[in-house]
Amino acid sequence: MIVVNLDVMMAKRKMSLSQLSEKVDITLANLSILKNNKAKAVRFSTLEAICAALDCQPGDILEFVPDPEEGQ
Amino acid sequence: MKQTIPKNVAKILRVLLLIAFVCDLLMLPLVPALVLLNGMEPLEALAVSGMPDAPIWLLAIFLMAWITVWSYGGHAVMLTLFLLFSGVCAAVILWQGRRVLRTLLRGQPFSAENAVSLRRAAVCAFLISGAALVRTVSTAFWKGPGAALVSYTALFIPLFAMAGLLFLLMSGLFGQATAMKEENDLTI
Repeated sequence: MIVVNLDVMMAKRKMSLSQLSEKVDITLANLSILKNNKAKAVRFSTLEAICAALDCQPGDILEFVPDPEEGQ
Repeated sequence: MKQTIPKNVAKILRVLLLIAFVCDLLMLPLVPALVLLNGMEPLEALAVSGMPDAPIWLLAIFLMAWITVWSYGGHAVMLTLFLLFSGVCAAVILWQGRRVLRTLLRGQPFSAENAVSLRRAAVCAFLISGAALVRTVSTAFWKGPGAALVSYTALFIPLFAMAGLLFLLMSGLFGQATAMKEENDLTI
């Protein structure tokens, strides 16, 4: 599964969720969905805006973690 | 503008469904008496007869019919059971229709509860179709196949089977639309 490490990157950049939502122009509710790993897909435009706002690479935000059920 | 037209249609349809639902529920207790009296004509004659105690007589007839109808033999019992069963199933279908329209009026037509409501309506439509089949077969044994096939009950079989399939199809479509909406909502 893909895990979103948005909170880690936000902590590194000392940026709050509301500040990021203003910079990226996404609602706080949608950003919370993304942060809490509830999202089913991310648009390239959103990813680009987040990377630009946090000055990072997509790999810094997204991480692949093998599913424990699929591994068995 | 585009949003208001379906909502207005839904409002009108919801009122019509409520009227049909109430009429259905009001008619259900009258079924045994109507079966025994073979229609409304004898009751209408009693109602317009000018008898001062006609309402009491009518009430007594409807109450007594619930007890006596079961001793009137196969045809009356079969017709009573068929009409009661179909009436209850029709009431469930009408109620599910109202539930679907309520979600449409709330602005959330693509919800999982609509798929469930339509599936329930499909099951009821299939049950009515099945009951009509049983009644048609039994009529064919009592009165012959000719009489059974020209009755309105024979028409119920394909009609409600098709309605059930349509409800089932719509349930599947609503389920798929709900999944697509959820995916769209969770795409950031």
